[in-house]
Amino acid sequence: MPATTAHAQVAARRGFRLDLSGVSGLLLLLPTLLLLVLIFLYPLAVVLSRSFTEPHLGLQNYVALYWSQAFRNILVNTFEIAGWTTAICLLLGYPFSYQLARLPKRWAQPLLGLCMIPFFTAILARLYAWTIILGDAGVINTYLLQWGIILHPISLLFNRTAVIIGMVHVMLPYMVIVLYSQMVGIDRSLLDAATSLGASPLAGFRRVFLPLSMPGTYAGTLLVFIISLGFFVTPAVLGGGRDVTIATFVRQEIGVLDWGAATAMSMVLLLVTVGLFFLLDRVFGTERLLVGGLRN
Amino acid sequence: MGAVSVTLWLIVIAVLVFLVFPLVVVIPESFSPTAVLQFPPASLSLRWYRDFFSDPDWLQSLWLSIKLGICVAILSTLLGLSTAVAMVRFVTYGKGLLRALALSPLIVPAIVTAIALFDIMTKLDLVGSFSGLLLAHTIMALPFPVFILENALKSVDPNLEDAAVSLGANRFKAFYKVTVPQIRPAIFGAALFAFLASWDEVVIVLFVGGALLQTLPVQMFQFLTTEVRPTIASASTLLIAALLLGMLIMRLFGIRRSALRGRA
Repeated sequence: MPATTAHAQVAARRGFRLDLSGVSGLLLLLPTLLLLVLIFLYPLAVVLSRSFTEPHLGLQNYVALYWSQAFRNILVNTFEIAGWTTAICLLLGYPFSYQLARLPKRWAQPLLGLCMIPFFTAILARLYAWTIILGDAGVINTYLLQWGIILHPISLLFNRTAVIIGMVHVMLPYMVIVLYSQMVGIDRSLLDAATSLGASPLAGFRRVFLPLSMPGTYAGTLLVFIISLGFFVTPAVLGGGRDVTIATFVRQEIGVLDWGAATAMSMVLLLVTVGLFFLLDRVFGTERLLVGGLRN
Repeated sequence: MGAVSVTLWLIVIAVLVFLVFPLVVVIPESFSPTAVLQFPPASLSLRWYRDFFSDPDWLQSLWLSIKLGICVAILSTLLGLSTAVAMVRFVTYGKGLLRALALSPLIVPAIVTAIALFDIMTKLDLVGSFSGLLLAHTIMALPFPVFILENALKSVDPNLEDAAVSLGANRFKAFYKVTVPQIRPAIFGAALFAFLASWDEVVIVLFVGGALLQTLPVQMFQFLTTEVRPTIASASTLLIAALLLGMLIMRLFGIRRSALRGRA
């Protein structure tokens, strides 16, 4: 790898920079490095090591994790919710991005902007909105009752469906960004070529467009799935505490000072997340996907 | 092909309605006169805005969120700038590792970061202190400035700065007068992203803020998981209004394009 950039090479040719560059570089990096190592990585290592030492040295927390039906349910819940969220995001995001990528830029841009509005909106405002829409006296129930479709309010809130709806609302913009940026780069004249050679539009889509869109599709799917695994606020608010996920479990256990179970579960979540991210990075390159991963 | 096209357009419209409709619903609700959820409200009142602005708890949490967001934006942008300069101009190897380190707060799930920070802040006796929250959120926000500013600095010609130095400016002055103006939009963009990262963060504050320090989102979270009063509707509406204002400011400063370039 040519590690030296053009700038560094230029810098290396200059006398005084050559002498100072190592020191200056280190000085510039030092505050960030200190902060990240001392107040992020080190505490992370310390806290995760507690999964091996609470209440005494050994693997007991992981053994419990493996054998306990309750723990296994939490893992299954988390993966199921993340899986459903990802599948729905893909199902909605793919045709949406496909259609947008077909439009001229000046039409696609405002539509994408509209799609990004929730992305920049406070998460709690959005969750509150869903409680208004899904609640017993909420928008949906009010109209269904008014129109005589139902006789009693149906319970839409505080269950898994509500959690998944809320999570799709958060994650769909991510999926669209990734898919759109892949699809907009696909040369549509290839599709015309396929049809002019006798392929049906469907065959043209299936044999030409779909394969070309696959890198973005895999990357978007993986990204949405990874972020969905760590969701805390959405399940806590819309799930009404019924569907316990890894993240809500960790908070609950810290609340009762059971550090062993909480840290072992965190370790599982961290390993799965980092492992999948590593895969994402190796296969697709994460840089373009990463910015914006904080809101859940 | 006609039917396919119509279906696709219907999906586009459905997706946009799904994404935007919930935000629209909040606004009329905040003007409802009753405490019980009713949609659409029978009449309009400012009761819940009065409730919001006369309740010291809400005002305190709003003020804390603003203060914290601004401090986090400044601190993490300064740290991000120095890191980005080092990465673009000085670091020759280990760049990949450094970048991974700088981005790691974004990759580690928030709940895991939260318990780690809770643990260390307890030991440092910083739980429930502003400085504890500031440090915690600066770590969480740091990936945005590093990433955005590194990308912006890559496109700046360092020779211009060297020219200024050869004409007698010192290194800092040359950087401030020559390089900074060229990346100003990216600096604003970085600060804005950092602010938003702090502004919208719940999990870390739940742990590190203790019982005393509750930011606006945490206050809303406590509300939503215990009682629901329309005060939260006015809070939400204010947040949505703030967002629109923020987007407008971004437009005016022309940040959007450069911030997006940072993401590309």
